[in-house]
Amino acid sequence: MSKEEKKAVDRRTFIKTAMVGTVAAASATIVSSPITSKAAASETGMPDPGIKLAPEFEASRRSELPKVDFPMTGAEVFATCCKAEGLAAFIHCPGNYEIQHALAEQGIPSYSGRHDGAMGNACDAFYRVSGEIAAFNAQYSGCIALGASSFLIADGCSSPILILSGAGPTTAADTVRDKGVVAGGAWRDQWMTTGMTKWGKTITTPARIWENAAEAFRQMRSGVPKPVHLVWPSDVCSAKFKSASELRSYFDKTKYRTETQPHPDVKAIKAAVAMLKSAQRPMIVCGQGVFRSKAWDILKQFAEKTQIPVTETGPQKGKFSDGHPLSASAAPDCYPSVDVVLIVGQYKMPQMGGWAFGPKTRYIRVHLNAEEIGRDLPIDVGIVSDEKAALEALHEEAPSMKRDGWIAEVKAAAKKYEDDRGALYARCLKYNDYNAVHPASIGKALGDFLYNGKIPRDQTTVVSGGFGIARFTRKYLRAYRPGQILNGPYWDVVVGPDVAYTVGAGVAMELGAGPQAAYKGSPLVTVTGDAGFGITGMEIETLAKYRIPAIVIVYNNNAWGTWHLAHPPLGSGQRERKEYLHLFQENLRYDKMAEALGAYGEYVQKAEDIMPALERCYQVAVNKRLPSVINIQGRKEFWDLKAYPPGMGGKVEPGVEAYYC
Amino acid sequence: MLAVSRTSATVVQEGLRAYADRKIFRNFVEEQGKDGRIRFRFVYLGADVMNLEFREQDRTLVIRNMLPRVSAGMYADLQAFLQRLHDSELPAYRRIDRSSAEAQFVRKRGNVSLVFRVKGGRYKYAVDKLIELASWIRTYLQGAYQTYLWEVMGEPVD
Repeated sequence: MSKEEKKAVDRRTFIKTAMVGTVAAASATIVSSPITSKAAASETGMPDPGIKLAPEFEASRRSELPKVDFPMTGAEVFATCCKAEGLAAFIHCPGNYEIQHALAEQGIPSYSGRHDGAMGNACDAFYRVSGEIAAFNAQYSGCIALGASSFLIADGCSSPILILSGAGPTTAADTVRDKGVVAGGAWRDQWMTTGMTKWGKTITTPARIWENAAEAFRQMRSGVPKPVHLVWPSDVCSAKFKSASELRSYFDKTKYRTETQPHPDVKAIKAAVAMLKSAQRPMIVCGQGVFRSKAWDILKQFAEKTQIPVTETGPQKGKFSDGHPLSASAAPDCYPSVDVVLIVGQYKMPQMGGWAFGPKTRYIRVHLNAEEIGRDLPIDVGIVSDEKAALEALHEEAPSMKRDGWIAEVKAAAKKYEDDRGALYARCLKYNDYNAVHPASIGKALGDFLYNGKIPRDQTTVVSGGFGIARFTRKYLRAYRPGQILNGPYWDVVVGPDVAYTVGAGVAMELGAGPQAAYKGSPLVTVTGDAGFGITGMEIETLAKYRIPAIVIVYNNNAWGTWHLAHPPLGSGQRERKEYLHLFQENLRYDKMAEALGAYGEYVQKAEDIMPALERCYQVAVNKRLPSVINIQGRKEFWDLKAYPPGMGGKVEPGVEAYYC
Repeated sequence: MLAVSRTSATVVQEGLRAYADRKIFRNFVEEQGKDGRIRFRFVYLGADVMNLEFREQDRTLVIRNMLPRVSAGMYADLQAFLQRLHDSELPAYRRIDRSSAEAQFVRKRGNVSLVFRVKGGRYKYAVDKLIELASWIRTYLQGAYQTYLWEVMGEPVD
């Protein structure tokens, strides 16, 4: 690395460099990967062409948009609706071509990756950190099936995704072609996503394209968000419209949906305030609805006025800053003391025992939908309302309160958490060895790098993923502004999507979407394991292609996270037939895989090398706008509780069981 | 409702029913046993049925076989955890008041039961604290013995 590249990265330097990087990309400069296949060149004696962007790539991205107006195709009518609705991004694999091309030609920021499922995860991630909607697109059945896992997760996380897929012509309905899974008549696609979408429609009447698109946006932008699915028969896409009069509906969005939100019942607000006033040790649990309704400012004001500590849960963090004195996310020891909980915007509830609040705790629950209030945990006061509207009403109704003793207890719990974390790190330090880095050291180095170094602590968006590794890194990860942390394994603990999430979060950073606007172009960091990387690691190529400056940390312990449940006692000499099913080959070089895909790679085999690797990758991110993979070599045996206590460790915090629900 | 006099048993019954009425317990059942014993069965934390027995003569509340297959090391940790909860320096809402009740674990053939001895006739306090203690134990296990919850208690790994 050159001296210039090693210059200190303060915020000003970063912004300046980011701008240079953007300009370079805009002028279609082809930047060769830092990796060139020297071995191959020396063996053949031929010059190495290196990994590079096709010359057409940036030129195509920056080319002038065509003027789209009537006469239009069905696909163009739909794309016009998407543009009018402010569809923020289009992240997909090629397919359903008329729709795909129409959206791109409307100027909707479009990105294509390697795997349909990964692109679904990316759309989910885009929403989780930006609050803006992205569209997914697939050719038909087989591709929709590949995306199914991502739709399921998005459904669990209440992320809206506009799922689009192609189909054979309407004339093929109920024919033999219709029975084929891959062949043109893929009419079962919408049925496949039923159960993981809020609404779906196979568009059969071309004149209703706008109407059906409007319904899709009304569904996504109203109530609890979820994915929706539109299936596009080929003759519907290619239908011709000479003018708007040929469409049954062609109206502005103000005519088919409303921005108004449900407001709370005054009696319920008074009852909630009375309960909070009488509470000795209340707490606010802040879920994804606070992010959906962009209610973070009023949440802060309400918490400060009433002196109620706040803990976070949900698929993203930063709705309430971890740096705020009232933050209780990293103070789990105080949860059993809580006597009243105000749950705002938690769309999926745990069962009794999922949260550490006690059996005498009373609950006030704010939810958009009455039918959800009272599900699972009991309620004492239910408030049917938009989260922001409810917090505004609560703020208006509540008097200023003081709770010095309770705040002191929360602070003491936060200090205990930090002390315990320090003790855990000290305890695990001795486990480090050559080619065996303990995850506690990764957590510590990452925390120091992100929050105690030269980078402003609110700058870097983090995709917090992994399974075993998450139990250590999450102890150090903090969010200081909305959408700063994407909580990877929320709801469905699927470890695979982490790199795919990075694509979506990276796109949000590149576009400065939603609350990421102030951090536009900033590098981002991802934590994943070797199991997760194996599932969506190919998307490193997508990150490299779009010059998304992500640093992906892979904890490589040579095994699935489930190995610790399937092995005999260490040192016993015994072997069990089930064990090998949980193993990978050892010492795999994910860093070299990244290099081969046009990214930068680091292989870390000693704990003390983590921080220098992070710094080098950050320089690559800032100066070359390239992604990196830091492949940190671990040891599966670290998950063994007896040999390396505390093994995998306990419940994942911070947040009230934020990892799971 | 079972026919009982307004006695310690009534206080215990009413105390537990209050949790069932609040939806904290599910599938709540109570049965009169011999020698003034009353058995309660309900689903509280997680999916498993909790068996609680009130022994009026002994003034004890017992959750039998609350934790199966507990190793000696884990048992020692559990006892230390319980001991800390009797510390008078903890706030009243986070401790077990020794003058009102005393909790202990009993391990037989690897299965650990929780025995709660009531003092001074404070049965209402004992019921509330026992139910609270069950929640604290679960939180403790989630932190210190997550693998036990997966492997023995059958909680999902992912």
